[in-house]
Amino acid sequence: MTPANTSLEKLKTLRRLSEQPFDRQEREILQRLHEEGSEAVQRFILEFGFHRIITAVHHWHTRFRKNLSPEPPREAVLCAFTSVADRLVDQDEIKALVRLAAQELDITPAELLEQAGRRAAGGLNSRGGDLTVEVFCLSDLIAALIYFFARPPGLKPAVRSRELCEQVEEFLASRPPGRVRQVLGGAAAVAADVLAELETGDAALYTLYHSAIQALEHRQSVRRLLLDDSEPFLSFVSAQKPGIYRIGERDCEHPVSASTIFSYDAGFALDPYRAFLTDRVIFRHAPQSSEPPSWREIVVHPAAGAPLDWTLPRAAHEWPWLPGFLRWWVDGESLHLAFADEELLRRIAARYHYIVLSGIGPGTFDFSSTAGPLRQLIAQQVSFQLRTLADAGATLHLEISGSLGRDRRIAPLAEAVGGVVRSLGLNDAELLQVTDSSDLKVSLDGGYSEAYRRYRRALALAERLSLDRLYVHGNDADLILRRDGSPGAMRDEIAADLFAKGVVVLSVLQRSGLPWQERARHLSPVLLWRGFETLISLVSDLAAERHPRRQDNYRRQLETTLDAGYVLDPRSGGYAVAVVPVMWPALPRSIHPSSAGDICSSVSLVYAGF
Amino acid sequence: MDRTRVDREKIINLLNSLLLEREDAAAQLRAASALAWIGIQARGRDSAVRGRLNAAAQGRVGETHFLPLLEGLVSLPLSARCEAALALGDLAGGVAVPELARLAGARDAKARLIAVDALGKIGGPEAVTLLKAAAADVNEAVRAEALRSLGQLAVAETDSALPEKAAMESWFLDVIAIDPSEYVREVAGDSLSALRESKSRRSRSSLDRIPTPTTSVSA
Repeated sequence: MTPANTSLEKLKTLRRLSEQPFDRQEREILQRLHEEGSEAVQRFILEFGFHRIITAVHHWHTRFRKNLSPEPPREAVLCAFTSVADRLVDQDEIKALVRLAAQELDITPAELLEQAGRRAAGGLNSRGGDLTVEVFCLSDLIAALIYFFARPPGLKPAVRSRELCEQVEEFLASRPPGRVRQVLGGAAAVAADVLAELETGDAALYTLYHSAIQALEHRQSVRRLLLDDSEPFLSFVSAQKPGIYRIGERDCEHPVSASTIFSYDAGFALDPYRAFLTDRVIFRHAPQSSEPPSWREIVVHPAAGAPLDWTLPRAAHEWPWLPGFLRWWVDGESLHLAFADEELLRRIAARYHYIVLSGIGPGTFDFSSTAGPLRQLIAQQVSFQLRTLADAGATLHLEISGSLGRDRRIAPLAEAVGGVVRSLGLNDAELLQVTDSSDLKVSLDGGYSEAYRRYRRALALAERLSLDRLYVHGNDADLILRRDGSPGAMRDEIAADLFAKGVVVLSVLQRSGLPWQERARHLSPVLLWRGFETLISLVSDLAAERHPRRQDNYRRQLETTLDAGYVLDPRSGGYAVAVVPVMWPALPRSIHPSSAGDICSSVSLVYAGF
Repeated sequence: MDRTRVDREKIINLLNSLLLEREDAAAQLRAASALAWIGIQARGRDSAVRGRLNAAAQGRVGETHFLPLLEGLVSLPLSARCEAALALGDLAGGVAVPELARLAGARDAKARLIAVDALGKIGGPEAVTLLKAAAADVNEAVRAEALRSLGQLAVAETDSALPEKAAMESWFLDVIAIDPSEYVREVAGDSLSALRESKSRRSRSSLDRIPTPTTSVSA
């Protein structure tokens, strides 16, 4: 019998999923398009009829099925830098959290909710900062939940005080068994795990810390890259092995990187506040050790030049986290963090064809004078690392995270990654945030669909960052832009994306910590009507843009693109775009889809042969 | 079957307007789409309308109402014919098979796909013959759809002793052995598995109906 959880078993399950008759789904797609479809969809039905949508649905379903068993690529992939243990909290426990918080504050739950509601209305935390970025106390945390109930999507506020960290840990520890589940999280860790499972060539993970809790969630075949300052410089261990550091003769465990995730259904209420959408809020914790660390000061070493002493206000158990390839060690009362030098970076680039980066965003590259010496050092060092890796021949893909810096400019990101990072991935909400900058104007006339506007934003971003590939994962359709994309390249992108979406659905089920094979059996085939709406809307607008008189050429382009899923750009250096309706079943709330887009992005990158 | 829920009068009016709007292709397509929309809605209400291997589905408003349209369909533009074929599959029953047979021979593969899709909903011996022919189409999507439709018709067949049902199994095996497309072979395999599964389900449920033997104990 095939062991559960092998890639073969996963692909078999994927096959079974796609084999189900899709009559009922086809009917739903047609009904929803007719009743709720956009103006472009209504116009399409009038011009072409329903039968044309049916043939398109058949075509995409066929395509989905035909792309479920690709040969695993042999190229080596390194995923860096993010890895966390995600603690998933059931929605019923949110009310328990409110009760506990009220008790701590010695007020009634109703009084607490009133207080948190006022804070949510202002969008400010207890210290006057942005509630969506950081929280300092239980009342902030509940205010952030209430804030995102009304204003989805839920983001990832950081937990910034020791007291709140301890309160959250106490709360999690007090929950009955089964109400809090722990799974692997962090885009890099999860992507490395999935790629290793798919048996792609040498999938490895680099992360600053690797606690026993994180190691426990990995499969044996993932290798963790260790950096050293002497031969052999690069070494590997199984990601199942926890990270250890030494103080004198004593072995110590790496600190734990964790986040706490509260998920809820649309309609869930902390009276009188009600969640508008099914969503989740991720509270990020700084890495922490179980005991206060022995070091008292932090010294950051750039690849060249003088080290920087870094004193940070922190909780006693907290450890710092920096993006980039770093070595670290504890010496006496100092924690040393050393950015990898050029030689080490070139060795990494020589070993890996793809380097998939996460934990880096527009805010990483803050060179402004107000940023402070540490932030400037990080910006300068990470830029240097990216450039060196690219110069040495690695294909860099960045899964962007975080929003724009304080000045809301995209220029620092463009300077750091332009011509260096070849491929970039982000979700549609992040695209909206990143392109809402003061120095990137996306001119959009009225009358175009939301899908087309998304495409125009993606195009503007790809041009501004001089990318060869941009992958925008959405809840309805994915957009993939390729500079000078040929028909073959676009077909490969679509095939890889369809495969990736299927794999990711199963990975998400598997990561839920529940019996995933059983649940997978009950999922419906996975083409969404919203995906077809986006596809129709976008290809209609693209056809209208190229053929404004809406004559025969317009009709021909529209019909062809609906099945092909891509539109080329004949100009040299222009961007072809593929639109892929998302394959995503309705998942039960207990299934946690965080990182799904990031995984999909990595899998599609590698399988598209970019 | 609850036929009263299908708007009979509306269907008849649309059938008429399809024929009356001969000069206006856009109006013909609109009328055909309105008809198709009724069919799509009806799908959700009544799964029993799908035919079987040896019995075609019955029309929802009386098959004779479709006859004038069926005679005139061949002169309509292809897009309106395809749209009408979609409606016929859901609403017309066995009477539509000859027009769908014509469409199944169209040069356009998308038109053939729609014809096969509709034939698969109607069923009956004539449709089955056409679907078997479509299973040898040059286009793999058409072949796959024909095999999927045949599988569903065979699964829907209640007469498990029907020789055609047994023949279908070996026919699927032949397709699996010779079709050049891996995708089509997979679909044939799925259809075969579904058919075998339905047979074993039926035989299990018939076993369930056998009365438990009673044991008499002699005094």
